Amino acid sequence: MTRRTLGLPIAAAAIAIMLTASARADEVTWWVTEPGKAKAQALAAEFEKENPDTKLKLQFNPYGGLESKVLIALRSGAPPDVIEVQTSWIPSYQVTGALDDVGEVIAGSVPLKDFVPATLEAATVGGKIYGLPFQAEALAMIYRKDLYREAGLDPEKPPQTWDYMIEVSKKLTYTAPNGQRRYGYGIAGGGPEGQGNTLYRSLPYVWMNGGDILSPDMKKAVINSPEAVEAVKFYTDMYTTLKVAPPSTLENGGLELRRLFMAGTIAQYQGTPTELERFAQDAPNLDYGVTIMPHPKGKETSALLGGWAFIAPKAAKNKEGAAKLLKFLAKPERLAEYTRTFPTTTTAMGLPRFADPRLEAFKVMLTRARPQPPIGSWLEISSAYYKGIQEILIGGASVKDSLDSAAKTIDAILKK
Amino acid sequence: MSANAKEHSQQLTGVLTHPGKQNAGPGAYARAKRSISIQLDRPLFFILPAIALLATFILYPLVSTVVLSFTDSSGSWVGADNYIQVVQSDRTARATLNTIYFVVASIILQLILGTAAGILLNERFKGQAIVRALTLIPWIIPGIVGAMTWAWMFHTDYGVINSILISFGIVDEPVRWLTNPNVVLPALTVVNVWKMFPFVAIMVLAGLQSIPQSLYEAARMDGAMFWDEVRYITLPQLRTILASISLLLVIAGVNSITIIYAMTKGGPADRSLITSIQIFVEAFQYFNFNQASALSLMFFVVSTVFIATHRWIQRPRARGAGHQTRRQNRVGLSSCVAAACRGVPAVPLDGALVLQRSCGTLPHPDHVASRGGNPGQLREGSVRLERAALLREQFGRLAWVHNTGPDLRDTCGLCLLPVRFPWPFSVANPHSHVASSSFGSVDRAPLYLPGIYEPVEFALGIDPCLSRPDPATQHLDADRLL
Repeated sequence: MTRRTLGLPIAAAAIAIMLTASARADEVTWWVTEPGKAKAQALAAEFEKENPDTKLKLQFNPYGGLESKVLIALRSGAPPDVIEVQTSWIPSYQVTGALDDVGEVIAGSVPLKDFVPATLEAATVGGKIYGLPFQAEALAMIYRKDLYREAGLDPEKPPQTWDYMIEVSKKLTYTAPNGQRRYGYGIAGGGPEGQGNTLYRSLPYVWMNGGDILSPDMKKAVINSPEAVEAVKFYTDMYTTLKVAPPSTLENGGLELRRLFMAGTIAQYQGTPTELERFAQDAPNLDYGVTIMPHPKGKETSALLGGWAFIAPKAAKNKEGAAKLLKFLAKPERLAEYTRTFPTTTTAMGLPRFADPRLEAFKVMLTRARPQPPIGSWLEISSAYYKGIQEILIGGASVKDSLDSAAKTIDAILKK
Repeated sequence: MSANAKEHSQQLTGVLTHPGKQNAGPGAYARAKRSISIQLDRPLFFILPAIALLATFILYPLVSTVVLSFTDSSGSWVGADNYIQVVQSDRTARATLNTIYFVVASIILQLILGTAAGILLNERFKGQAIVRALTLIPWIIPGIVGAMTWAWMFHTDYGVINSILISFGIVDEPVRWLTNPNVVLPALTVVNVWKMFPFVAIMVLAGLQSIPQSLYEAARMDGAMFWDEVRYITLPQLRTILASISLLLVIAGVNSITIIYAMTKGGPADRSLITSIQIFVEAFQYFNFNQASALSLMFFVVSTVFIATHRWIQRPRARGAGHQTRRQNRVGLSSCVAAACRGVPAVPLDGALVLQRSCGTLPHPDHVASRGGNPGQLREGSVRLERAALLREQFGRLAWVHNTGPDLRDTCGLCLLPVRFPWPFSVANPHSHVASSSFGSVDRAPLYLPGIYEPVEFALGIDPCLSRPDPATQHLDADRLL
């Protein structure tokens, strides 16, 4: 109110924005990501054919800065009707109650039990479903078969346990005859998207070992528990003491690791299913294999569930249109069409598109994947965790001390 | 229409019959109307649009930031809680130290490099225009482009810098430019310096172009070398512009998010975190607008205090320096001139400066002759010159600094000023000196004292000896002096 009385220009600008962003009653605004452009356009054409009196307005957003962009849109009071977001962002968006429960709408198109349980779980806050998950993936270990052979290892028997993984990584770390330094295993420790990349690559080790960042009731930090400390030590030792990870570790995220892998600097790393498309495009002759993430002997492997979903903001103008669009999208074949990795429904998983044998390990990892805890301050919490990891990688701080300090920071965040 | 009018009159009657306001109503209305109509002509009315804009875009955000900093996310008052949390956070201390390091180191290097580049670019050489244009490139290209390019160059494994260093055998292991906690901040500072020094250079260049050439000519007459010119003319003349630049650089430095955010995001583990990034992350990634507001207010206050201090130091310094110069001049002038009046130097002298007052030229017979004039027609000037030549023996060395005008007739006065020269000057014979061709081409060059370079007219103007510029006494004074 005060804003409006004080700032006529602001009001004018806001109205201008609303005029462009908002819509006529028969228009639905749909925000998708840039990489989904072609598929979204095809789906939009199909949707408009099915609903001749509804117009679909698409906007394409790049990945960079998307999380805050959507949050700002949600808080602006005039958000688009349907938005494509990472499933893990949903809890933080729902903190202020900005989203609509879409459970019923989805159930109108596809039985909820057809979804891979973890994917719906990731979109659920307080028992209600706030997003239509369409994509799910988990990281698996990708390794260079040619480098395995050069180091005298059997490329068909990649490591399945931590101990053997270290042994193999040590063997793969050497200076090649052409002077190139080679490293056994690339871990993420930084880079432009370092926080998320490091979380996805290191937290599964903690989980495999029985540790976690937060206690199950999400009231307390447990990242300094002995299990977690042991797992983080395993992860960081590869760089700090064993030196089987390259010197650039602190600036390597997923993208950098893929580059180093293609260049042969690292022989193994954790990658997403999308990496395979990139290899096919950038390095078609790359001789590589994919296997599950090695785990401690006698324990099970684990992964952090990644994925994307469509949300329907509560403040959106055209709710009827949003429901129509979500209902349209929530067909297993359309979800499977739109996903860039794996679909979220069991029906769609059986489609031939996902039958590539190299995707097998990713599928196994997906069944082991757990979502991030549904807590609003997760980004800040994981930032404290990330900082702890970096402190260890920089050197000078013991694993235990770093994680103690991270736990302290996280406890303070939880108290806010 | 009529219904409206009726309603209107009823309203008026209502107002009129209202007890107590019977007279005040229309009177107040008239007064308000009058005061508005008066205001229409007042300055306030004309600056109202500007004030409205400022209030909207500066005042309102400022006030709402203050309010945010004292409330929590639900909008209820929490007192200083946000401030306490911010101050207690380890990040704040680290970010503050990093900011100070980053800004101070950047500014020092930017000023040194920028000034040097500006002075060099001001020299005449072949391809000057191209070099000037090339120097500007870092400043012109978008910050994000520069930052990403540098990030690539700094990369530990495939960065070109490490590759060069290793191939030349300068280092054995790749340097972790952006991830070694001891190296990351200096590396980022280098990028910031690279980005901003052309700005300093171009400002210095502009400043240099406004320094009158006559200063350099005068100095060169006195035998000043390049470094003397830089030390005694260029830098003192650039002082005010350098002060303004350094203020701008401070502002740019504390606000420079782009480079660091694009290259390290403040990492690794906050080792390159600066306060502006901390505020940004706190507000737009964690959405803790209240703590971010508290932090930015503290940042604002510190910056304001710093800038106010800077201005405060700078202003008295400029004025103080002026005072000092003038005082020195006055002391120097009055005592020296007084001493000269008595014919005895009060202080050991390096030489004497013969100053010609304001309006004319100091004609030398050879000079006049070389211009086709008749030296015999010269009036007092030539006489004085001879006297000056005599005085030269008395004072050892003698230098001439003088006004040349297109018109040789306007000799109004002459003053002998014994001074200490900041550089050794070699001209022994004032005659040959004055006759040098460069003097002939300079029209009405102002007089400057060496090393101080305040116009001498000005300095003389406050001199008790020569304070009242009455042409008659002026001649007398000058005559008495010589």
